[in-house]
Amino acid sequence: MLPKDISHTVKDCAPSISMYGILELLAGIVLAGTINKLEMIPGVFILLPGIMDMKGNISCALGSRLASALHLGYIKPYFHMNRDIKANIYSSLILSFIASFLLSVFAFILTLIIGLNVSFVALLLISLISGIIAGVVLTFLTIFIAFLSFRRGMDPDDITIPFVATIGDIFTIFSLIVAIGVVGWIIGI
Amino acid sequence: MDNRDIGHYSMGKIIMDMLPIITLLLIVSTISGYFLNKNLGMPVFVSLLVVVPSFINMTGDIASVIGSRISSGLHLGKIVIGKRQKLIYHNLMAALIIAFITFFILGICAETLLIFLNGKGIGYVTFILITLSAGITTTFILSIFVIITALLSYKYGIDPDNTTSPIITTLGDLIGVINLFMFAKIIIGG
Repeated sequence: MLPKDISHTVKDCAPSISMYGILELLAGIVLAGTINKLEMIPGVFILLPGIMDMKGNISCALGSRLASALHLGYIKPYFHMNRDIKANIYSSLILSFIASFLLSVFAFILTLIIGLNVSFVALLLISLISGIIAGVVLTFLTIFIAFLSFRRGMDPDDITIPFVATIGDIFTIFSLIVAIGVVGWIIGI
Repeated sequence: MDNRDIGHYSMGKIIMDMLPIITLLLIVSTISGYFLNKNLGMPVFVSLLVVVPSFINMTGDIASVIGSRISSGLHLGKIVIGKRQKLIYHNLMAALIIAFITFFILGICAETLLIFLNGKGIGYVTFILITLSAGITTTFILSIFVIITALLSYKYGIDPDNTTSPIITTLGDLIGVINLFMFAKIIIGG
């Protein structure tokens, strides 16, 4: 028989982790379904983990800051513009832009090291277009969820991050598909 | 947690606070991307791609639970550095059991989805063996890193709540992607 604290932890966590894992399969299916498009542009797979991590690095941090700001009363849970909201929105959008740019540079350096022939412009455009689309959508989605959960009397800390982490992947993959479509159209494949 | 007033937000400060860690994470993500790209030619690549987002998030979720429990244990004085650590051992055991249950379910669901959408999968036994072995190994390695990070942070007076999450995001992808494809190769034999 297992010690009590182990079985409690397992009972508390296993159902929700399985549920999020199964939901995330949606993101995986969409990803695998577009494999032909992804393979058209060499080097896209090098970008993939970085693009998928951005929601965690930028939007989850935003969610966590908004939760604190709501608790502290710096912002109110309805859409309005004050300096705290502006600082949070603008910094997330600017970080999405900088991170997308840096990611394409790092990915390009890697392709040079491993000797893969890849167009930097294609990597840059895919990273920027998908990063900016996902950045804008996820920033406003994060704000919406944080406000909604706070208004309903729930703690936005508990709601926003798991929600953004799961839905974020699905949005990110859609934005990547849009970006590949646009870039494919520009460079003519 | 100390309750000091962090003051109002400024755009410049948020960006400068986050940029170094984001840059570091992007470098590690690029290395994970290299391993993903390297396995592109594998016959089962597409089937494995289906579980990549779930896989990375699930190992991250399990390690986060362990990280935050160990952090709380340290804050509450239930874990004392240098003594025999029953709580740490129990948390690690719990993480491995959760990994066993959740990755078993993931394997079944992924294979069922593949059969449903594609007409054929890679076989229930094979898929479950891959998700289980890669999932449990990744969870174990990630949990060890998280435990060491939490203990070292606490020892040096840094709040472990602030250090375990970046460690999980940074290493989770890399260890996850490497393990997933490595175990797939071992099990399928390709």
